[in-house]
Amino acid sequence: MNVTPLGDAALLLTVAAAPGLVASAAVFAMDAALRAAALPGVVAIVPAYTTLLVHFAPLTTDADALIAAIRALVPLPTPPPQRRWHVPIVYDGVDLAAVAAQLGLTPARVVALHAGAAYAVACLGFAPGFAYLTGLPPELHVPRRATPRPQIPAGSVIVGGQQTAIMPTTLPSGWHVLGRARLTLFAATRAAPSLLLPGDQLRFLPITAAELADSVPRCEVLP
Amino acid sequence: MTHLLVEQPGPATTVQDAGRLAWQHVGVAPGGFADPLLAALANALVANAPDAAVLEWTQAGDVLRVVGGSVRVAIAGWTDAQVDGVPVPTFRGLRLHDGQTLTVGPLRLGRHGVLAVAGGLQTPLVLGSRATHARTGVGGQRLAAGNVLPVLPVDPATADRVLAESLVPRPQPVVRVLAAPQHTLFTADALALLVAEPWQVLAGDRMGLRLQGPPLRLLPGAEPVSEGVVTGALQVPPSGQPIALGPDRQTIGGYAKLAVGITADLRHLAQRTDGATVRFVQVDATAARGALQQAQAELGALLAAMRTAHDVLPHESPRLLHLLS
Repeated sequence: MNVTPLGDAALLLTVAAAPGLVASAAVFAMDAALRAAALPGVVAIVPAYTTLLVHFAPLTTDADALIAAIRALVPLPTPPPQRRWHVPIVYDGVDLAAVAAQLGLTPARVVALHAGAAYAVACLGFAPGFAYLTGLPPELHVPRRATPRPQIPAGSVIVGGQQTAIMPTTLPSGWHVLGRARLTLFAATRAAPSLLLPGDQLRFLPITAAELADSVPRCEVLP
Repeated sequence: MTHLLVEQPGPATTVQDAGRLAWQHVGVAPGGFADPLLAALANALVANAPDAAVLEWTQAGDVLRVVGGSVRVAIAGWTDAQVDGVPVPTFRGLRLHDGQTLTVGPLRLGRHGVLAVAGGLQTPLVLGSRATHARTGVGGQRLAAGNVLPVLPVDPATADRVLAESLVPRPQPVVRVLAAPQHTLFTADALALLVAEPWQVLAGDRMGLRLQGPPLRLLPGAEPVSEGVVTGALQVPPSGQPIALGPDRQTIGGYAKLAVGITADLRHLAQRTDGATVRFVQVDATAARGALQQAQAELGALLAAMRTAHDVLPHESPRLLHLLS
């Protein structure tokens, strides 16, 4: 593990060379160790694909002592995935046809590939409750739009680069909209504000527009 | 219940406190004071804790009416203010009576100013903070006409405090930076370019400032992986023109970071106005720590320099107001 300062109030911990399930497991294990250790001065731990960023209070924390304490931590073995979300999707996004044309596929094939894949939450970021999902089939890797759209509605199912995600709130984005879901990904007043958490598995379930109003994401507890 | 009624909002006023740092792992921006020194001073002038919730305004302040009791406020910022049209001083505790209207005008200096209220604004806590992240709505939205800001009843026995404006450190156009680990993803001259040239602020908000200057180039084939980011980071998109991240930044970012502003200078970065220039100076970790300790010592000296205000301001006394009119 490489530990290096990012500015004077954060340490960047690099635990893997490249993103993937192995890297995510290493990130989750170090995240668990950091949270269990509750090291003095640490104010936030932000896990990503291959790194964790540890924010600390710079005035009251000895950075060198914190680096030594982090290097001494033993990653905690994390349990295997415990939750698999099944999210109903209406695949009628404004960019579905254009994405299909760009990839040389039919829209039906894009839907089949997107809904047929198994995804996992690598990390959360960009916006509250926004989950970066790994597992997008390579056939669906598509460059982001040259010009971001100023408003992508909440619930939009989007693809960009090697990633796919669901928009938790209406925000600008350069990703392509394939469809829409009906779910509340983030609610500050909920006991667990973010619906999805790192390590969660996720599948998309195609439904018709008429079925959307009554659709709810289902959480399968894995054995 | 005593409250401030927003009669006319400034262009981009939000409620801010120290922010909600601990929720970044689920994508919640830290938010919080853009200029923590001004917030600490404004809060101290009304005998608040340094992290009590305040109004932070951008370019110009708000028109606020006091409803349901008396309040005590303090303005920290380089601006002019009036109560019912009568000029009032900044950097001084002010008693406002029921029905009086406070108008805080445009800033002469800097991007942000602060209005503190004795007891702190009592807007709802969201994830442990009252900070507004307008972009996602966490903690509410920018101030709008008709908004009601609950405040605590004022203790009439508390004396007003005052600080000479000349003592308050003004926003500076120079920001000290530390090289970021990803500086090795850039061409060898990138850090030298960053510190050699002035950078113009094209536009900005609490999320970040877009800077314009000589293009900063990534090495061919450099593919940064998205990772956690910090306030003050200078991240460089493919355009080569850096963005200086502010307190409403996202939590994880994919653009490579060339350098990071030191904590002591983040207020100077945040206070650069559109069209103004900023220069960067590279320092090391020891210098960054020294600068932070010095800034803390300066804050201590400023708090010690605050005096009890013995004069009664015209707007505080109906008799004086009558004599003036």
